[in-house]
Amino acid sequence: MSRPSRSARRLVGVAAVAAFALSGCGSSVVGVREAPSQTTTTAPITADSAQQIASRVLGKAQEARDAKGDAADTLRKEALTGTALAVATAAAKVEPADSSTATAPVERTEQPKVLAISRGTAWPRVILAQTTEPDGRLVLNLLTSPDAATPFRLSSSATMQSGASVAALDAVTAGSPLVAEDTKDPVAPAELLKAYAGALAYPKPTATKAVDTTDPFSTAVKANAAAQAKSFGKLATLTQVHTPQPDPVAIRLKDGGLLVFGLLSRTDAIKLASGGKSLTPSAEFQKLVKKKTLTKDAELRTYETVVLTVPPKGEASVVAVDQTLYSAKGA
Amino acid sequence: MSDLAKRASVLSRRILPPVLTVLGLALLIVGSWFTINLGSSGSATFETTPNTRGVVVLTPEVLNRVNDDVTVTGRAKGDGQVWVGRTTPSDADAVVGKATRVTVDGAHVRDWSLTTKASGTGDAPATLAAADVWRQAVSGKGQARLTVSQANAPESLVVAAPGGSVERVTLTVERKTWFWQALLIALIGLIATVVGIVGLTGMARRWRAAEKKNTDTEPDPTPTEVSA
Repeated sequence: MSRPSRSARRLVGVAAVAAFALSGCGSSVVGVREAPSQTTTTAPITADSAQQIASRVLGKAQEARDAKGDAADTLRKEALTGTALAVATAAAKVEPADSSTATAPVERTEQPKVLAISRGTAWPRVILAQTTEPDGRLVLNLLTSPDAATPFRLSSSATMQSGASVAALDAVTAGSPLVAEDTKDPVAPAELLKAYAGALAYPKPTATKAVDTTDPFSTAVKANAAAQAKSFGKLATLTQVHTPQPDPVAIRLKDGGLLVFGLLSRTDAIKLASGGKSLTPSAEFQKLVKKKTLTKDAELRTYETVVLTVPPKGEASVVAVDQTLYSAKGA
Repeated sequence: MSDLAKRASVLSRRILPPVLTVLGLALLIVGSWFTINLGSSGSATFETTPNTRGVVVLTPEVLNRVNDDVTVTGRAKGDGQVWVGRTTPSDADAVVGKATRVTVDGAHVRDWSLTTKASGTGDAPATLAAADVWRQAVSGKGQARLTVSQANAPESLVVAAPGGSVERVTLTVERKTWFWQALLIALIGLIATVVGIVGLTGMARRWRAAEKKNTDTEPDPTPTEVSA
């Protein structure tokens, strides 16, 4: 069999090169591809962005705390929201100069450390950041953004108790799931706070297996109430009620447990016994109620910001807490 | 030579030259056009003039279709302030909301334009820049430019002119390979055209020779005089 002529082979060769060149115009060769789809199961913002946001928000919160008068009010509204705003505003109304019973919401000595970012593209979004107070105590700060147009603000802040620790959270880039209020796994955050509040009540606490109340704060609250009641003797009676405030925030831990930020309102009600006798309270108490003696009753209201960790199985424990007096009156 | 080989040879000699010529010319024109438009840097610049008081949203369909950096420049009418922010597509949609927007979701190479569609009502949110959704943001007087790398794809860009109008948005992709690819296509087109023309010339020569041969061998139609 004879072969095609040389000119024919040359023409076929050129045609093949041309065809290859044309096919080379395909998307892969020219570097054009389909746009990738968005991943919605990770943190919605980068770790760097979260760090910048935390620094900005906590810096503003510090400014608000240091400011006086109307300027302080404006700054508070810019930097704080939710629980943190309620606590700071209430504290400012009672006695701005007296910080003996109010723990500073934020006292930074170094850059905040971002511990977690809420997972997913939905709102609200939260950032959990840790700061260090000048005395070395660690503070857990919860920053919240309710919607796309509203920047993050500090919504809750509490100082960690000595020896307390938080179980591992998911990586910052992966994000940590926010837990719905009505979740039952391992416990409903609202139910947990209700159980904890009941366990702290005085004189009739409600026993609970949901929360361990042997931590320093819970122990001190119960001991102080008992000591105060004892000091009143037969002159007065003390009742202490802790009321959970709505909308706790819960973040899922890596092991399946929860980190719950909640707010309790504690009411200390002192009622003098009938018989015409008066009670001379301590100097601190006199300063708060602006009276030297009590003849009828007195009521103190205090916000208790609490952070609890809930393991997948077993009792929750209080890891961080702050309390701020926001109302004091007596007659 | 078998019949099949003969036919293939004849076919290739008769069909390929005109096909190569046409194809070569097409490649030469297209390659030359791209070479001239892309320049030696291989820069493709697409443009749109939305003239909107709302925002312009550039989607991943124009920002993340290539492996190279994409530079977007927003220009405001007059010397107005321009702001450009980069974020995820879902956050861009959420932060713009139902405000008036011009969405850029494609590009035409034919006229180097960006394809757009308008939607929404009302002004751009006043708090746009303050939102905590931006991975990067730049602003400038008259114009602002932001480069999108592909490391965090997919992403969207939002261009706004607070208090003014976004007059023009340009998108530039630089890929040096494109210049060389366009040049190669033009070169292949040139070669194919030349080869095709040479083939056509050969064909014409063969036809002429065949015609001449036919003419020479045909009997003279003039009747010869026959004498008795």
